Amino acid sequence: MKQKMIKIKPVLLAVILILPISIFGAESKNISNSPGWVSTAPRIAVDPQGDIHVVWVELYSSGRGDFFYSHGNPDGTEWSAPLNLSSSNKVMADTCDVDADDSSCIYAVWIDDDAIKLRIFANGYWNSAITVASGRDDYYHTHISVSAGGNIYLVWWTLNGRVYSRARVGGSWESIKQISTTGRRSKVPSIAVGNHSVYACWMQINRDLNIYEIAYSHRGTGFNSSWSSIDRVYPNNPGRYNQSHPGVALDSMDFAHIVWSSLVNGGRVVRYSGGTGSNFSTPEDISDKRMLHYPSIDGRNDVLYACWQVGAYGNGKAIFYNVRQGEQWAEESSVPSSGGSTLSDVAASPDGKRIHFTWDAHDDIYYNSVSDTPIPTNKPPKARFSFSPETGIFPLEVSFDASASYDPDGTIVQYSWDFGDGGVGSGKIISHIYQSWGTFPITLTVVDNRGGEGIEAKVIEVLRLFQPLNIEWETFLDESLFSSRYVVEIYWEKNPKNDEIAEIVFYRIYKKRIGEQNFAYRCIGEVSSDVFAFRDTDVEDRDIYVYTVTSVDSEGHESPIVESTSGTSLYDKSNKEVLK
Amino acid sequence: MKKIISCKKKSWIIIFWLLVFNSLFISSALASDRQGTFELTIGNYSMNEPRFEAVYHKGGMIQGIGLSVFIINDFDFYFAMKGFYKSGELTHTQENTKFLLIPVSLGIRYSRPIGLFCPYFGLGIDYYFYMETNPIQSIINYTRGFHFQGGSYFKISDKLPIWLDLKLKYTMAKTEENNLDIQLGGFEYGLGLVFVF
Repeated sequence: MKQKMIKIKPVLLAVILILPISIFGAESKNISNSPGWVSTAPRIAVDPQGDIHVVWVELYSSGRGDFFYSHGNPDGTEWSAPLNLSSSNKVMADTCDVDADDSSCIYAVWIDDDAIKLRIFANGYWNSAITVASGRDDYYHTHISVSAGGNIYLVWWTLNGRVYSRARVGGSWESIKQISTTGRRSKVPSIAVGNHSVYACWMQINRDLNIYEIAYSHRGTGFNSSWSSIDRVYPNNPGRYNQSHPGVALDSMDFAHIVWSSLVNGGRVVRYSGGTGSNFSTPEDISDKRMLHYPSIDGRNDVLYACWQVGAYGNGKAIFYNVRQGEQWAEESSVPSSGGSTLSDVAASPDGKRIHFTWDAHDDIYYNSVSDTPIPTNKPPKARFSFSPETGIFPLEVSFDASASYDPDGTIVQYSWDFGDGGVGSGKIISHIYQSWGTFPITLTVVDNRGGEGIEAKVIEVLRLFQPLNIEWETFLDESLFSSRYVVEIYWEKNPKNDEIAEIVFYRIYKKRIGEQNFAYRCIGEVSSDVFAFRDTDVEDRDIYVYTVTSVDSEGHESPIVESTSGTSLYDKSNKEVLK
Repeated sequence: MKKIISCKKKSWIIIFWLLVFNSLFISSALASDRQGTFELTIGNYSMNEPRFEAVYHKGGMIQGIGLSVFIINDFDFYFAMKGFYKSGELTHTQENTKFLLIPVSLGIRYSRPIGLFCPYFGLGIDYYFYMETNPIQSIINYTRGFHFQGGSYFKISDKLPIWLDLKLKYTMAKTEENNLDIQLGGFEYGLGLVFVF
């Protein structure tokens, strides 16, 4: 921050100021208007009415200064005169912060010499300063997050490499808690509160790799809730790249979204990871690789807004930003007329349609906004499914699992199945029974939350057992002294095709009258698989029946009655009759 | 059934008159060597029916009892009841079938003692009670028939009231079942152990 104390020559200042305006063609607004002082480290918040609140530090020649506040209308076209909230001449150069609750109360925090101070704007007045922490002269980088109901959660760090937090819940202050691990140098924390959770993240030294990594901890919103054990957002850091300056925001599901800048080969990138509990996603780059610094993040209506400075420290090319909507980040864009910047912050309007930025440049605090929020192009979901068993004998119940489907930029909201046999269904995991044999195309169609579709098709072969071969029958006269009857002897042969499919355990014999449809076949008996003959003694007369035989396996699957099974029409079977 | 009842009536009429004859000529009976006989017989019965042979193969053993009562002048009345049982197989399925025939015979016999022999010749009527059981059907019924027979008694000793009997018999007894005409009668020959009283 000492670089910010370097006095820039007026001519150079004019060039720096004019250039970006001429390049981008949109006008940024100087809201500090403090010639001669160094205005730095601005932070921005938007209240539920859409009014914009910006705080910053004005450094005097002594290297210390005061904490200022200004507010703008929702369009950012009109700004109040800067208000000195500290009036101490002892404000530290490092960051301050501001936030608002659902009652539009404004909470402004800063480091005032050997204390962290808080002032709350409520009922039209700024209340007197509250001392959050005191007794040290090495407080740095205090951040604040206020819940909708006005509970206050603060973090800061001290030069000895420890991150602290303090909260005011239900009007009662908790004690100051160290939330980083002693011995692991930690710094530059950020904090965010959601509906039920509070997440804090910071830089934590990894002495094995001699780099900083982003660590985090979380707690409940209740009074004196405990902070969780510390974990790293991206412990599998294959490039062993240094990670710095994290920012965190929570969505409506208390899902934490963290951005940071990461040193990579040839430059830096802004990286994003989202998660909850101990599971964070693999980071994705949301910026091009270039010289960049100090990302910030805000969330509104589950849309994320991130900004960062691109360019040299103290004289950036521009503030860049990106928007994550529908779980996909758009292409990065630059904030018009934002050259010469160093530190920046972002906040979205209540309806999310306007993105407000503030940054420090040329020893002043600037504001600009964009309203043409880039809408990420929807990437269609990927349909993926498996099914089990992959084949079998009908009737075959098959389970389908589409859990492997995914949407790269959103969520899948619909799973539609076409089983290829006329059956359809819906749901991620579903089962279907194939009532006939054949080869069926299975089609899974998934629809994401933005209407995109993904399709995957596979084929399932449903098998059948085969009827035995050469089914024939003969009619005989069977007599005693006083009685006589007809009996029909039915013969068949084993079908070797079944050997490849299943183990046949018995044969089932059917008959119908000549001329009846196949559904009229009725079972008249069963014989074990090593028997290839059956005798029908329930015969009313000769030449009035047709017989067929099916194969049945140990699971109860039965070959269908297909007239062409044995290669000859059943009606053409030889039907000998032997009469004595 | 009417036929059956009329046959029974006729039979009882015959029995009645035989008893009358027996009582009228009781003195003659007492005058002769015998008044009657009781006989245990065993023999072979061959049914004269091709269906029977197809199912039960050849004939078989028949056994029974007989009773005769002297009437007059070498004539006596006789009654016999026998049993004939066969097990066979149905013609195609070879499933088991059982056949039981109980012939009941009544008749009059003429006999003339010649030394140790006493040849005789008789004729009479028969009631054939039969039963067949098999997987096709079970049948119980009876029919009527007639027979003629001949044979001879052999006196083992004049002092012993036990004779032997060698006889031949042929019966005609036709019945109808399931539209089939079945001849249950046939040729019978056998040996009897006769107790004379």
